Amino acid sequence: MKTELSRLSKEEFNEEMKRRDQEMKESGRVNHTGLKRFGSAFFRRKAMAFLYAIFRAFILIGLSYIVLYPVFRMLSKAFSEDYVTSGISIWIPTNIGLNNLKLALQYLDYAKSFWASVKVALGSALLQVIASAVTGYGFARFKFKGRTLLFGIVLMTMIVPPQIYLISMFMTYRNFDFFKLLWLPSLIVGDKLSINLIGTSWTMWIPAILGVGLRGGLFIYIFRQFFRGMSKELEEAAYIDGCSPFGTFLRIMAPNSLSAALVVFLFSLVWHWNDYFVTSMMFVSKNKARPLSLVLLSKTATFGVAVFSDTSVNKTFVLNAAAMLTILPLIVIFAFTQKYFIESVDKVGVKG
Amino acid sequence: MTKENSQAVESEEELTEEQKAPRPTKEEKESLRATNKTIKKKKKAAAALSLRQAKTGYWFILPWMIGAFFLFLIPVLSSLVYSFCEVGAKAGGIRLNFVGFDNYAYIFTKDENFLPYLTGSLKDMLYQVPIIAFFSMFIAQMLNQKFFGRTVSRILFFLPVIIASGVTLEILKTTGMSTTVSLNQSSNIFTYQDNSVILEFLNESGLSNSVIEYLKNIVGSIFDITWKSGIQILLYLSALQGIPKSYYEVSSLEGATAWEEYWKITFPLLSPMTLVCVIYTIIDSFTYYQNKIMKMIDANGVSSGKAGIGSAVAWTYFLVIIIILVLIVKFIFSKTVYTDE
Repeated sequence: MKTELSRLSKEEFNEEMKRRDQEMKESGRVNHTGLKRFGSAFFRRKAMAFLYAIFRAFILIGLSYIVLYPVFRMLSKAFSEDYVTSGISIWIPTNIGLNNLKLALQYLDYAKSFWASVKVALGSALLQVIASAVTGYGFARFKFKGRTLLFGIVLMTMIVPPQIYLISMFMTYRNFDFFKLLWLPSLIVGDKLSINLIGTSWTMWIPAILGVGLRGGLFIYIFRQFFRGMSKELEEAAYIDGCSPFGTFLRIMAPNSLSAALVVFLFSLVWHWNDYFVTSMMFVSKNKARPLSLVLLSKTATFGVAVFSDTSVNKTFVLNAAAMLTILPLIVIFAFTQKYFIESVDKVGVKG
Repeated sequence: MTKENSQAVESEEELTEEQKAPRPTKEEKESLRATNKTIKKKKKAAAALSLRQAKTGYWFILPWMIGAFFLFLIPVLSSLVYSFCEVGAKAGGIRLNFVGFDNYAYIFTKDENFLPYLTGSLKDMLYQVPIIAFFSMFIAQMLNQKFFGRTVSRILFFLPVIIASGVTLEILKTTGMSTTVSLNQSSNIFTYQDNSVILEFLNESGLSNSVIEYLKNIVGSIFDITWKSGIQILLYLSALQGIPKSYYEVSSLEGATAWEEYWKITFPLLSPMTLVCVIYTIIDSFTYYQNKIMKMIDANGVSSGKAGIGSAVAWTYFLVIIIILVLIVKFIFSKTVYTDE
C-alpha cells in the first residue's frame, strides 16, 4: 500500500520513489513535468523544495517592493523640506520637518473634512452591514416567489455602474419626498413638498440602510453565500423552541456571522472613505464640509488656492502629505483589525 | 419544503437502521419511541415553517426591495429615458425634450472621441483581465502556503485595497514616479518605466509584433496589475481555504504529481472563483474613474446641459460590457465546477 511520503525515512522514500517510477513505466504514463529525473529521489525532493522557496521569496519580495515603493516615496516626500534641492535625495530627505503636514492640514481643512468622512464612511459601513446581513439572510434561507428574479436584480446592482444613474439619483435627493410618502400632504397643502438632501450625509446613509449603497450588491452576495454555508440545525432547534424567524436571525444567526460582518464592514468602510465619484455628485457645494478624499482632489478649494499660491513650497510634497493624512485613519484601523480580518477572510470562504 | 422533508426522511432512515440492530434493550426501545415523537414534532414544525417561509422571506428583503425599486430601477430606467431626450436644467428639476435616437447618432457619427475611447478602454480591459486573474491566482496560492513571513506578506497585499480604491493612488503615481525618473538618473534601475533590457530581449526573440506589444504592455503595467489585484487575491485566498485538504491527501496517496494535483484539483475547484474574479475585474475597470469613457460621462453632466449625450454614452458602454460578460459566462465558463450544487 502507498503511504504518506512525508512520514518516510530517507531510505524508505527512495524505495517508494523507485517503485513509483517502475509503476509509471509499466503503466505507460508520462511524467507530466517533462523534466528528466536526477539524483536520488530524496535529494531531488529537497532540492526542488529549496529552489521553490527561493523562487517564492524572489517573487514576493519583488512584489512587496512594488507595493511599498510608492508608500515609502509618499512618506519621504511628506516629511521632506528639501524645497530648493528637490528630488536629490530619494529615500531620506536632508531637511526633515512638519511644514508639509501643517500646510496639508490647512489645505484639507482637516478637522472638518475628517468629521465629514467619518460620518459618511463609518455611518454607511455600519448601516450596510445591517442591511446586507438581513437581505442576504432572506435570500439564503427563505423560498418565495420571484426569488431568482429578485436575486438577479441584486447581481444587476453589482454590475450597473453608478455613473449610469447618478443624474437621476441626484434629482431624487435634490427633491427628496420619502419615496412618494409626501404625496398626500402635498395634495393638502396644494404644493409639491420635498426636502433637499444634497450636501448631507443622508445621501449616503439612505441607500446604505436600504441595501443599495456603494457596492451593496457585493455585500448582499457575501452574506448570502455565508449564510448558505452555515448548518441549519441551530435554526431548526430555535424554531422548534418557538423562536420567530426574526428572533432566530437576531439571536442565533447574527452572533454567528461576525466574521462575515467584519469583512463587509472593512470593505465598506474603505470604499466609502476613498470614494470620490458618488460623493462628488452628492457634495457639490464647496462651502459645506466635504469628505477628505473629495477635498484632496479639488485643488481649487479655498484652502487649496492659498496653499498652492505659496511658491516657496513644493506642491507635490504638500499633496503627498495630504494623501498620507487621508489614508492614515484607514491604515490605523487596518493595523488594529488585520489579524481578525485575515482570519475572517479565511472563514467566510466566499464561493462563486 | 422539499429540503425539510428530505431531512426528516433521512432521519427516519437512520431510525430503521437502528431498528434492524440486533436485540434492542428496553431502554433503547424507549429512547427510540422518544426520538420518534420528536421527529413527528419536527415534521410538523417544518411544514408550518415552509408555509410561513414565503411571507417571512419577503419581510427580510423588504427594505432592499424598496431601495432597489426607488434608488436603482427607477433611476436606471429614467437614465435610459434621458438617453433619448435633450436634457436641460430648470429651477428645481430638469426639462426633457424627446429627440429619439439623435443622441446615439451624435456619439457614433459626430463625436470624434467616443469611438477611440471605447475601443481603447475595451482593449485595456481585455488584456488586463486574464493577466489579473492568473496573477492573483498565482499569488494567492503562494500566500496560502506555510512559510516564514506569511502573515506580513498577506498584510502587504491588502495595502493596495486600502490605497488603490481612492484618489491617493493617482497622486502617488503622478507625483511619486515621475520625479524619480526625471531628476535622479542613478535611481533609474528601480523604476518600472525602465524596461529596455527586457524590450531588447523581446525584439530579438523573433516573436510576432503583436505578441511583443502585448508583453510590453504587461511589463509596463506590472505596477498597475499588482495594485489592481488586491481584492482578487483575497477572493482566491478564501476560495483556496474552502478546498478540502482530504482531496490532496487522497491524490498524493494515489501518486499524483504536484502538476496533476494543480490541474485536476486546484484549478477546477477554483473555477467558480475565477468567474467571480473575472467579472469583478471587468466591472472594476469599467467603473474605474480614470477610464476615459467615465470621464466623458462626467463631463456630460446635468450642469453642461448635455446629460442626454452622457446617458447615451453610458448606455452604449454598458450594453457592450453586458455582451462581453454574457459571452464570458456562456462560453468560457460553461465548464465551471460547482461542488455544492
